[in-house]
Amino acid sequence: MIGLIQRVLIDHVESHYGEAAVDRIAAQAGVSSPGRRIDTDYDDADTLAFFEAAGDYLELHHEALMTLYADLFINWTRRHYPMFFSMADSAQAFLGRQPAIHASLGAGIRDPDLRSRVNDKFRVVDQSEGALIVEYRSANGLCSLYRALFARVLAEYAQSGELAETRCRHRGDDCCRFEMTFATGPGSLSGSVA
Amino acid sequence: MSEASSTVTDDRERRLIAQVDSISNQLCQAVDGGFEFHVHTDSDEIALQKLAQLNNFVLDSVRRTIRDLQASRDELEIRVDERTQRLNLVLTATNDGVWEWDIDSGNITLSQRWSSMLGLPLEGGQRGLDDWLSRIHDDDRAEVQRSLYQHLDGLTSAVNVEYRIRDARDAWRMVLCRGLCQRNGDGVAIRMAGTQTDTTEQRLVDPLTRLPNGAYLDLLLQGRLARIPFAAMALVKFQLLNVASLFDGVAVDIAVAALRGLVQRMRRQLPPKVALIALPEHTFAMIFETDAADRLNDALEPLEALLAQPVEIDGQQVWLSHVSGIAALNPAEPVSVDEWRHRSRLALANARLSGVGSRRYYSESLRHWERQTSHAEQLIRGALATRGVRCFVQPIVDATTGEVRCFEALMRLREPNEGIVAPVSFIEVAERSGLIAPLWEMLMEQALPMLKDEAICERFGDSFSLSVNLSPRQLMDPHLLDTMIAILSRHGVSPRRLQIEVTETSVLSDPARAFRILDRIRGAGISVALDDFGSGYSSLAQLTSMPMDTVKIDRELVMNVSTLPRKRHVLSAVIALCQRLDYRIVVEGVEERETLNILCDWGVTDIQGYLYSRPLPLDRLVVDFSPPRPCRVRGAGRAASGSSLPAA
Ligand code: HEM
Repeated sequence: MIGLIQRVLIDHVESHYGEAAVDRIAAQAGVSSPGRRIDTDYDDADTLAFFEAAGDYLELHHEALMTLYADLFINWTRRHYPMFFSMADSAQAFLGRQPAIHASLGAGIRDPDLRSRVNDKFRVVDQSEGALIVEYRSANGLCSLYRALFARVLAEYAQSGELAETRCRHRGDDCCRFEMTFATGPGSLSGSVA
Repeated sequence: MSEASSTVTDDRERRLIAQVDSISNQLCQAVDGGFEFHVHTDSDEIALQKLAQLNNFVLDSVRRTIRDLQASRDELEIRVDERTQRLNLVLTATNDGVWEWDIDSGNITLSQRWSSMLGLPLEGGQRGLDDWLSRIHDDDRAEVQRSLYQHLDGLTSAVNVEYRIRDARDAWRMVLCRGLCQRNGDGVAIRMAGTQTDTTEQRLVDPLTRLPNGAYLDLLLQGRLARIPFAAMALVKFQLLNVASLFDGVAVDIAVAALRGLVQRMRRQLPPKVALIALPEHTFAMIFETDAADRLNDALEPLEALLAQPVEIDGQQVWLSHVSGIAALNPAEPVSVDEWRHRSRLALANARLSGVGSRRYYSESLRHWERQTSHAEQLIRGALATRGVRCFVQPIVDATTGEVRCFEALMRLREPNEGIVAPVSFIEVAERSGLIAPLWEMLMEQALPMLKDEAICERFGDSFSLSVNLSPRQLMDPHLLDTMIAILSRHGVSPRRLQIEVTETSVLSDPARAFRILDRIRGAGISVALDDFGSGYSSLAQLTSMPMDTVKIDRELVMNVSTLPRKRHVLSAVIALCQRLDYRIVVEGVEERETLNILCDWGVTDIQGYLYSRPLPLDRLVVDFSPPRPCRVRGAGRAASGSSLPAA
């Protein structure tokens, strides 16, 4: 997985619990030096192990860790990729573009096989007024992360909406399928981001 | 800011600049239009990593776009290629040439096949419209131009015109040109394009013989007469008279193959440069570059020698007879195409009259003959129009009883100025022009009622028969029997009371066929008589297989038998043979009582001649002719071979 994912978590642990905490988590995860470059692809298993160890360290269940992480992640990405946010005027627009954002970041990977592995993870299946369907296909099985990020993105845009995961790899489906609806209520980017 | 900290800041700034510079330098690789590279940075700065990452995204997008473009271009090329191949396939299959006319420049682009169709070298590049038009036959050019311009002006939906075009060997080919105009949004013509199909095979080739046809001959004649200086030439027409015998009882494809084989052998008897051209009615035309009779005779001899041999067909041998007519032109008197053709036609027609194997040259005397012929034709047409056909009858009498056995119906024409005209002046023309059939039907319409005429029956009884002549052409008419049956039933006359008379010549031109026809006629109950026997050259042997009932012995064999013993021997031999073969015998031309006595002695009973009656107009018959007294037989019952004759 691209180092960006770990970096957000490492930055958080480091700034709140010190460098030693990062080392302990890494040691528990069995990872010698966790990768943090945003333009480099690291071993998926290492990343997943690091997350698990971090959950233990922070004494958070997986779902809680994801909620925390989603908040950290959106804050981090809003700082470093503000353009992606200003390009979208609603949560639906942002989430509709998310597969393309992933593909653009994956494009930096040199190995064409790895590149397509990143690019092919997300796919917009259908999109209409107030509704969006996305499929997520990855052995990493991080649909929990997706759900957490969905909620965080709605909050970011001060919007409300629903997500139903109609298919899931953890239930034996070949992919996860997120059917999302968005309430067209008040709330604007400027209001919630500011 | 302390010195140390400002150095750190400077260092960081220099590193940053160096790393930005490194990314820029890597991007320089795109200058050649190649995007197959990655931007890389060692920097820990997120901003730089982002820069590298997003540059990679842009590069990847460019690569993908180029790939997509390339893919759709490849696909387009494949499709264009496929279409071109399909079009080429169609064009190759149809063997069509392609032309394209750029309206603005006036240039014509012609495909390789267009040029090779005419045997022209492929002059790559373009030519003008005039180049094309100049190859087209003078008589067709205006039509082609009109067709092109009418379509250009939007008056027609397409160009579709057939014309003659000169090929590289200066020979004419027939081609069909089709085309369509492409127009811009305002309907203004941009270009016209289409195909040219070689239709020479269809238009200039005779499908039966696969030789060039009459249309091709026209082109040749025009070309030859237009040549300057005008040279001596001859148009020869050569006709096979009995090609139908090839088809007798033989499968059509076998007969056609035999005819094609023969025609090819004929072609090889001619000098290579002389084309053999097939015209209707198994006539062939050739143009020779001389008007000298001896050279023309030399040239035709191999052809005639070939036809002296039989054609093998289906294990049988068929001899074909022929005639030829020649119209030679000398350089001093050029003529028109029509006149040239006409002369050759006259010569051929005259040759046909002169009999099998003859060769006739056109001369002024043929004009005279033609005038006479046309006079006869006028006479016939006039008679047909004014019901001027007159039936004369001459009795055939059983000399021993004095009874009339039969009346021969004879045709005469009544002409306002000339009075009654005898057959000799018109029968041959009637036969040749096909007018014989309506004349004959008119004769029958007058003759048949006599069989039921009260006055005639009262005088001659009601068992005599009617005998009529059939010309060679009538005999070969496939509808003859139907026509006869129809006319008999219309008059309520039994076929048994009708006899037809045919001559040796009409039977022997195609004996097998004639015999078959005669068999059918006899099968229908109509009797058959061989007329004028002894006037020609046919052998007695040929007689034996002929399906007939009666032999009519010609006056030639009868004249002066009472005074010339040698003639008597011949006649007695002929009569004896006929008696042995069980034919009825009628002797014609009996004018003297002594002749009658001799014939009666030989057992000949049926006599026709002036001794009893000349031919009489039907309406004078009862008035002018009464049945004669029976002939007194001197030594009753003796046949021609009997003891009263010296041995023949
Ligand atoms: C500016 C916004 C975002 C950026 C820059 C970003 C970037 C990334 C990157 C670099 C990865 C690692 C990909 C890999 O190596 O395969 C990742 C993974 C992931 N992201 Fe995002 N992301 C963004 C927004 C989101 C949002 C809004 C969602 C969900 C609603 C999301 C869901 C995920 C998930 C589920 C994964 C894990 C994929 C896997 O490996 O199975 N991301 N993201």
